[in-house]
Amino acid sequence: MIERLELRNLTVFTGLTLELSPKINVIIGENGTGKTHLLKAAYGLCAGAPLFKNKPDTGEDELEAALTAQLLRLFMPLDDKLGKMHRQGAAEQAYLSARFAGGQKIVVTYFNNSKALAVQDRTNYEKYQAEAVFIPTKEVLSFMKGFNSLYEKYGLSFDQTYQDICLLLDLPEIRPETLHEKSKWAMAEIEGFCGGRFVFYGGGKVTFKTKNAEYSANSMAEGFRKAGILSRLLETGAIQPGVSGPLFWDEPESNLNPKLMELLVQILLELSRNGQQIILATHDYVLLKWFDLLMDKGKDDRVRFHALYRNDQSGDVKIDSTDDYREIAKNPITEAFNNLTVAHAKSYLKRAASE
Amino acid sequence: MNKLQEDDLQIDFVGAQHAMKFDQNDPDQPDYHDLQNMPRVDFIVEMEDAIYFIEVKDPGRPNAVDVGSTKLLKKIVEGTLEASLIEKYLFSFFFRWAEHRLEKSVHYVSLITLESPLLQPIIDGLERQLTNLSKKSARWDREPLASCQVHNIETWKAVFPDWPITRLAAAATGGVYTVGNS
Repeated sequence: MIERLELRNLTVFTGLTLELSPKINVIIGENGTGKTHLLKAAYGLCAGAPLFKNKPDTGEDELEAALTAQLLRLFMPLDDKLGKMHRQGAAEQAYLSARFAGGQKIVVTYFNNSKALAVQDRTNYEKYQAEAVFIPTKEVLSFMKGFNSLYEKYGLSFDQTYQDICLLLDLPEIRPETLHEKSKWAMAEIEGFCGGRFVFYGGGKVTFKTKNAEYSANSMAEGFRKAGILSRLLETGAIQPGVSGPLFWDEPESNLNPKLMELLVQILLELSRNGQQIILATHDYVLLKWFDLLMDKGKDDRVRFHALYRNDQSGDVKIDSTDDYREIAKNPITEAFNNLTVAHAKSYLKRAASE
Repeated sequence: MNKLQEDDLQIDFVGAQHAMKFDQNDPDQPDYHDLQNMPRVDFIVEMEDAIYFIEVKDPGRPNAVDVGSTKLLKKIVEGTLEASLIEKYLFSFFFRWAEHRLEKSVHYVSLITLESPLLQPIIDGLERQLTNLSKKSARWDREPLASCQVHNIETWKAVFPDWPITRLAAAATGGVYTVGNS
């Protein structure tokens, strides 16, 4: 679980500090304010968990090399150069820092011409072993067959999050007795909504099974495939409330049936109540509003909204975090709706004036 | 008889102990509002357990943008609609208090005939401006603002299924139809 994230001179960020909710974090902001970059940076800083799990005695050099490779594969900068991820015009080095709930810390920096990241602080980082999950914007069930080997062999224009998710989806199911009660509940809800379940045969082969028939996963609605990804991640234990690291989800709403949105928010809230930290980025009013409406302070729900925006004068990306939806000062999503309502009113007034 | 009419829309407040047109401009009517310059809601409906202040705005009226709708649309453009709705509620509350007619919790319901996505900013705007009014003291035994709701005809129908809305415009062309039931 990440408690605090600090980013300086990384891509569009001059300097940002986020105090994250241990439960749900919703990141909003107009295009170009760095929502996905923020998610990827935080996810990249979680990369130590699988590394130390597999090799507890990983040395400093190996850690730097692994984190560098991870960031490059996540951000895919031009020419694979770290310098291309350095904020344009920045005089100081880029600085990425994450503090985790157990007090572990990782701080890395790089300059314009750095070949690799420099680890500045790794206090107890080797003890942080909760693996993070990143669900990217596009669903992957329709193309995951053979994706992994292709990804390893060729320079596909998919960032690392796509390979990571495909690998997690292909893991075997965990034992039913290990499956969290809320995971079982969420999987049953998704199955009920979709009218069947996705079946994973390994090697990326996925089908959709109803009571009486089996179909190609590609023939299913894209929104169902997205819900199927969440269900499978629960089934394999990649997401295990109270055990797994943060769940990052970039635009969960894309291609999602609005009716599925309410269920999705209910599931995410329920997982968060059971110890799952969730950090998502969204453009969608309906998703945002469902979080506001379904959160239950009586159940100790904590949804923190983080609004990224550009300062009018300096153009710098800033952040405004609040636990109260109504207090989001820079909310581009509601601004878009406001504009729609005002434009509607103006259009009718114009029509009335011309009659 | 609990049918009340605002312009083109008629609502039947079935089961109400008392339903009145609070915005009554006609001095010959018993419910005449004698402080004509005071902002006020359109209807006040008293049920067994609660009182409803109802404000009706009908920009969705077919084939016409009337005076009332124009006023509403201008308020949306100027960004003053939410404050004006709150003002109507507060002054109606003030008036009814003086009449000793506020013995129950009060709900404030605005019926605005716009599509849901267009209503959402109004709902959010009201919530933002009602921050203080929505706070509740542990010492109260009734609520001055039990809820503040904004509905269009479709959501009204879902929340108040017993209070049907009828659009009367069709009467002129030969038939009255109940909105949302077609």
